[in-house]
Amino acid sequence: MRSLRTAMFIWICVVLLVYSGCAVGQEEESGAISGEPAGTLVVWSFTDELGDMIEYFEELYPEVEIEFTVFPNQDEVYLNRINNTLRGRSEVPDVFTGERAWFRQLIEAGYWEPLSDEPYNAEELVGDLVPYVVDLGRDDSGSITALSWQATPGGLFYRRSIAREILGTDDPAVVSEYTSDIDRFYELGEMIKEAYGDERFLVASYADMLEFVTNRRTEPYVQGDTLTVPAALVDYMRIARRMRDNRIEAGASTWQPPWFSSMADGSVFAYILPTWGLHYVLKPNAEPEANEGNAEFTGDWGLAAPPAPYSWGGTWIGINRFSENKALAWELVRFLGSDPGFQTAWAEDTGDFVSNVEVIEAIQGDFSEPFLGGQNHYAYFYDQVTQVDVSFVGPWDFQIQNAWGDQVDQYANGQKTLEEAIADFEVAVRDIVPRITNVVVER
Amino acid sequence: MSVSVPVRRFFRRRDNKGYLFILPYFVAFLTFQLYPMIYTLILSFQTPLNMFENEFAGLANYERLFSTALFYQTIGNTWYIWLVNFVPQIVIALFLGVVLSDRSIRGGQTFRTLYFLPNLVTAASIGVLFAVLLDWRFGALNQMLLRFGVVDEPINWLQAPLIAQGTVSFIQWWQWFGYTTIIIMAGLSAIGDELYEAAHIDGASTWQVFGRITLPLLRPTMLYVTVTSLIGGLQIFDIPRVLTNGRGAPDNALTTMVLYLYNQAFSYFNVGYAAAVAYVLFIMILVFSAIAFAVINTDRGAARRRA
Repeated sequence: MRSLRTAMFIWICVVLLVYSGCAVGQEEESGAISGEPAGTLVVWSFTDELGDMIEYFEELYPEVEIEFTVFPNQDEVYLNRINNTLRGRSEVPDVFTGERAWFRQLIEAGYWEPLSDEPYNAEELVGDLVPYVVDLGRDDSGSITALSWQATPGGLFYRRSIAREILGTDDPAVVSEYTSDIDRFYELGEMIKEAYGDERFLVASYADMLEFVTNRRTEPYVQGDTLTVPAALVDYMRIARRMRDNRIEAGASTWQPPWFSSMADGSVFAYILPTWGLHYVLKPNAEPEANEGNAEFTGDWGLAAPPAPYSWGGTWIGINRFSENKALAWELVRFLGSDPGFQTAWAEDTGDFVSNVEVIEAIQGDFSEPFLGGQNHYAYFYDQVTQVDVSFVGPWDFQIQNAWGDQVDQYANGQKTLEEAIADFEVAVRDIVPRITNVVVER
Repeated sequence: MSVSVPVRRFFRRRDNKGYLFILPYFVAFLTFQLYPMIYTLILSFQTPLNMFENEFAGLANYERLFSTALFYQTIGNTWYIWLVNFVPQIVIALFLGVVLSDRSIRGGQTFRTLYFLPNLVTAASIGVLFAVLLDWRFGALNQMLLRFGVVDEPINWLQAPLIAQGTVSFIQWWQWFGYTTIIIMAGLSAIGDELYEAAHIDGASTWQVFGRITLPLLRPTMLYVTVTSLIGGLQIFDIPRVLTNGRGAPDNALTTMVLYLYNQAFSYFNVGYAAAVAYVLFIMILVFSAIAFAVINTDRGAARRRA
């Protein structure tokens, strides 16, 4: 009996092994495509909106099956998963995405297939696309490694009711006079404080300003072994302290629960958010019922110019350089990153701001966003996108800005002097990027 | 594909079948424990060129480690957080253990369960809970203090290093004192009643009984509690991680050794350096464990000699 059981056990193991071997073999065979795209693609991302876009692709090519998985990047889970997978030279996923805050690291590591040359010839698409979107996806040798369906210039969203109360009008042009200059923006905060006491605030958190602040530079932070902190960041530290001391900001940390709930309760005048912030952050949190189609938008929001033009975030998509299915993967990347038909449909269905200039020019006149009281956000963002400069984006921006943010918090809370905060930042940043030996702080 | 004849012949012998049964453990051990340990050691001599490639760096990671003030600070933080949690924990657990073991006190079982409950919740969710409670503008604690007029301005608790560390110690204490109480009660129940009866007949006071009988005989239990708590305490990670969003802020007060390791490896991608931190941490825990076990063993030896 016993020997029979052992034999059975070994037999089952063998059968399982053989079967799994067959399954792998089949997948490999289906990789080749001829004529109409067909086959299976594995796609990973850290956000779920890509899932909706894939449906457009599958509709067009019914022979293609896409296995799409989302791994949220909370605590860098997604980034580490990509890193571990690609370090293991895995051919799965065929296609994966990266976010502006850290995707330069993926490009430096060479995880994405270069697309400029044969057989992809991505350069042929460049003429139609927003230049900064293409350039940010280039590797050190200048080859395009990833495309994006979106461009993400920034704006400033404000509550019209508070603007009417304080300024006597909710006209975006008048509001922009106050919001487009950092000193007048602060002045507006004092006016709101005067009118409402501690009930309403200019912004939810001083940290909401970090994005346009970090866009006010012209050089990358790290060049060689030197790290340069631009004067704009030091100014930001000072204004954060003033805002907290004088109760100009509500004290809700960005991305924390109180920050989201402040969008709905009407206690905050302005949120500094880019294109995607309108559709994926502000609308669902400020007026959740209307966003799900169960009510009308109140139209109490407006879009004005931020204190400095900026761009924030954005998702790029590229092909795993170890993928065995690159031809089909390129079909998907090209489709999402440039196809005018898809991008037009996507923009019209969601209002998201896309990366194909031809599409933007064609449709920008038609938008009237009910959430913004009928304002045309598309035309505004089209104007802003031409001003976006990203020549200063580097692989360590995310970590460096976090380290600076830590010290801003300490300084704003009055626990340190400016000098102490800057000195502590220098220590922290050397520990994050060990090759930095020299830190220059511009004042 | 089939199992080759020599393999089948090997396992046909009855004595050899045992290998099949222990095989799963050894496969798992080699794959998930021994291999990572060796690979980590190799990594600790490398430095990343980018996320994909490393190059050999000799002892550079270890040199950097021992010349980084922050690393020593993380050791200090870890010990401080552990001590501030452990000393009250063992004192209170001892007190509660003695009280709850007294048969004249009713409801001992119920209290024992109540005290143990916090231990059932995962540390990460407790961390989130406290982060919400202690939030600067919107936390329950500040709202309460403001409402009762204790303070005029909300206090930014988690931005003050000492309070942040104290919070972690408090959470640890709250989570573990019930567990320690139960272990101590188990130790107490192992002490023979005849000793207490003899002491009672000889007219010993409560304090004398506690100091001369209970404490000395509880020593092995206390050592066990100390060693397990220390090993756990040196590896503390989850609560500081959740409470500070992984930043270890304010001013690295909550950057413990393991959090430092984690951030270096998975937020800053200094994988080789993190591997070096892991090895120093490993050796440190090894040494303390060895010392503790040596103490326990000599204690046992002494007990045996006394017997």
